[in-house]
Amino acid sequence: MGTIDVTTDIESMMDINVMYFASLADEANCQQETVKLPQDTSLTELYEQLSQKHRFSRPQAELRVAVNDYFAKWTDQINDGDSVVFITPVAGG
Amino acid sequence: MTDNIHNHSMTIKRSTDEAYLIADRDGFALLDIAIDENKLKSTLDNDSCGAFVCFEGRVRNHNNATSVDRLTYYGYEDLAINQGRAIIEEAKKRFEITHAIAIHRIGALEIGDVAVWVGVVSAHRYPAFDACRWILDTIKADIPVWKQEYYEDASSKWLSNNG
Repeated sequence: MGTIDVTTDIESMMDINVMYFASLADEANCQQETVKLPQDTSLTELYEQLSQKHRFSRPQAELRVAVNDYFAKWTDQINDGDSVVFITPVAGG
Repeated sequence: MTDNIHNHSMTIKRSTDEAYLIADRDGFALLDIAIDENKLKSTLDNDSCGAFVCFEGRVRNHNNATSVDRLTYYGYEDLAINQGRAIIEEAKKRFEITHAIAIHRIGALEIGDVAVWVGVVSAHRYPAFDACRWILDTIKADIPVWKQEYYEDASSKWLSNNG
């Protein structure tokens, strides 16, 4: 359960719960982590940060994103307490 | 280590009974045990329907030229149920069907096991055929389930339906 610390005052920070599945769980070597982010951080910025931290092999263009258990758009805003999952190409059926 | 990382996606957090209730009500659920097709078929029974079409996706022993020993499916259950509900709702708008249910299994599966089951009932046959195919294709494209194949040389690989 790592946290990314970004400096600014604590009032303006939000906690985002990130869950990992499949190859991203392998690369992150964990199921989930809580990330502290400044308000107004975008999903794209969040993936960029985590991608650098965990050295994810897939670029954002190959992924979809889910917020609070629904597919979301990369441009959707995230809020304190949200749960975010990056979705690698699926392989059901 | 690997098992720990993926534990949350190899089993469902609901009970089996609850999963079947959700499948009946919303049209889609994940299961982590063998799919009971008789149960699903009786759920779909409807005297106004002259057609019942069903598809079973089974684990096969090869992928292209490579021999497959076994495989494991992993699912993001809450998103799968939400997205599955949207898929079945959309199928009911697109096709003249009465009801449809689909289940995807997660966890370790053996060759021959049913990984995905789709059943559709309708008054007449063509909408049931068409909806069954569309639902299966859409599940394969959109439901957050991932597959890892294990080969005879003990190696393994994450698969993808779309490159």
